Amino acid sequence: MEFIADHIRELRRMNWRQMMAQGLQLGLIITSALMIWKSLMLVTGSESPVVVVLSGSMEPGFYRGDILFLNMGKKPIRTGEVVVFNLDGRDIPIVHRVIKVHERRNGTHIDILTKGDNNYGDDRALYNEGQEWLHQHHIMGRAVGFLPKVGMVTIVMNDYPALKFLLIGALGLLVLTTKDG
Amino acid sequence: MGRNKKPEAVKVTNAEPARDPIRLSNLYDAGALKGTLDEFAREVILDQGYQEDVIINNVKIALGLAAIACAVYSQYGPGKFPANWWMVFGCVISYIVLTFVMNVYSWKMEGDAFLVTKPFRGGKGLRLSSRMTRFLDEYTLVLTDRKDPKIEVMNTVRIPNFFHADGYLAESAWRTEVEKLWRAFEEKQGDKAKKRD
Repeated sequence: MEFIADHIRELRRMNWRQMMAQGLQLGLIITSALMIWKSLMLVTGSESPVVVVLSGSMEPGFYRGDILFLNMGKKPIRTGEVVVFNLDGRDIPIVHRVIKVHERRNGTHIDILTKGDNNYGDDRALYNEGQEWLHQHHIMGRAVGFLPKVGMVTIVMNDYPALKFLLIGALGLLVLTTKDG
Repeated sequence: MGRNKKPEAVKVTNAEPARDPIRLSNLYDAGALKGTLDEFAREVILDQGYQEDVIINNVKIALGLAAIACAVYSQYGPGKFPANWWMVFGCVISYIVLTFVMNVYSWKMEGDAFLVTKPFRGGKGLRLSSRMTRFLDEYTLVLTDRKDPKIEVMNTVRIPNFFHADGYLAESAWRTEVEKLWRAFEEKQGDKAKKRD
């Protein structure tokens, strides 16, 4: 309690210019993290360069909680590739393998069918009503690398949102308490 | 005057302004100790009639806001990702350039000082900075002339001499110390001016 009162007193003694400068420092730290994420997006060409595997539908290759690194690339999508796609109207991406590709002879249009390695049937059961194929614009990227189990933190934080606030609160407290001489 | 904040109710004694005496709850917090001594030294110097050169801070704030605006625009701007690749690229590049310029500007104009003043009384303004080594209880206050870095005075004091055991800052003692250093600085400025003539 005393410690919080100390900080409030210190803040009141600062004039608005100093407070702006401090606030900006914090803002710049946050935005630099955002910029690093954006540059990853630029380099990989994917709107979500890192995803967490949420289900066990790709076992034994990928388990729930693995982190996948994605890259879009300009090469055409081919069977056997593990892709991450987003269905229209849903914002949770799905990681499955491409099992069928139909391509127009002039290469302008492409139909893709996917299936989870560990699933019994193909993904038509997952697609939207009446949709039978995926197209290029649904694909967010191809999996090019992975880190096992590290993504469990994200899954746990999504299941128990209170943990997210606890973590941010702890980080904030840490930033306030450590000042370098 | 020379103050950059309005005093709440100024009593006639110009030694101590009418506000809560400064007290730290944790005397082992090196950052807080340095911060307190810095803040107070800054006020003493401003009381001598100097004015803070706020242009420096203003420029930094403007650059910082511009950089943050670029970042926010890249996240919430129009268009979906792969299509607006060039816009996001532009935002990232602008962000990097703006933060780089801001850091270079800060380093050149301020260095490690926490107060930079406008020219005053014949001098070209001064920079007030301080140093404190990590595990010693010594604090060094440095006054440097803005134009001629060779005009510099510093004074090292032992921190426990300026804090009471219950956490209060010994304000008059610290004020006396800072004013002593300031007079040494003025003298050195005067000496240099005489040598030039």
